[in-house]
Amino acid sequence: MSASIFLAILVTSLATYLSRFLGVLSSKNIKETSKIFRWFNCLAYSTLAALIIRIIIFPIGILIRR
Amino acid sequence: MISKKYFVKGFTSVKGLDSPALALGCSFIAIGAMLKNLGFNIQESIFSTFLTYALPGSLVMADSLLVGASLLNIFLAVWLVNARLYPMTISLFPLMMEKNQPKWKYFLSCHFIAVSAWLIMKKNYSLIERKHRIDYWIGLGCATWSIAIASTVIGFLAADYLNRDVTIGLAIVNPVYFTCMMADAMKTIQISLAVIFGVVFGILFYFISPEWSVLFGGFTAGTIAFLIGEANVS
Repeated sequence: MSASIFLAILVTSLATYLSRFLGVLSSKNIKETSKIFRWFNCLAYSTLAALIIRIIIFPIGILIRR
Repeated sequence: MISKKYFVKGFTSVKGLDSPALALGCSFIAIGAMLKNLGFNIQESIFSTFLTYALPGSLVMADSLLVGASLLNIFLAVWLVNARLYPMTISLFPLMMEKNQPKWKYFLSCHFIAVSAWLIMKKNYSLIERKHRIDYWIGLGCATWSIAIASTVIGFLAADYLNRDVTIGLAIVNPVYFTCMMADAMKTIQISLAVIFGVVFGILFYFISPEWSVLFGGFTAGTIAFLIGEANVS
């Protein structure tokens, strides 16, 4: 069990860091005054809103199953 | 190196009245308790928050472990739920880019991108001179990250005293706090619409595909908000 927990944590952190890392790579070529920046700004707020509403209205399994 | 003055300024910015410290702490206490109940030991719990530091990701990992999902499945499920960090990074890091700052700062500090620190930075960046923003961000990130790790430990140790209802109550404090912060951020047409559409499409898409609802819902909502906003400006 312990080894699989360790691997699960590693895999989880890699999957999480991946999006952050790619975000930094893309950020280098994006100006804050550009349209694409404003688009991603909208995307960030809308995905956050979608995520938060999902957690509040449809809690992920573990919160209800435990 | 990192400017101490701005690091401290960022670090202490979580002390304010509108600080996420309390809400963030509550949620990670819930995570700590949950991980213990899942059979994690204290090192593994700390390690998990230390390395991942994104709440929905930890929830999904716990859920996947419970149903015995494969590592590949865990990777995909976590990636899906945390892919929001990509647009979040792109909507923050260009504001902090500075030629004279070393690159490692950006690649290391992107680990701090999570809703709490992100919302504060989006609110405060204009008050900080551009060249100091990354140091302020590192301070802020270290503060929220430390709170998350400390709270995981507290939750782990207190797990036996927290029943299911209390844990759920603690876990839900942060989303409610985020909702308030989002409402506060709704100052332009684009952002207001992005948030409102995000809620609407997030719910609608959930009925089509729960796993993809955040990404598809968020993408549709954000793009529509952007187009309406652009049309209004021009």
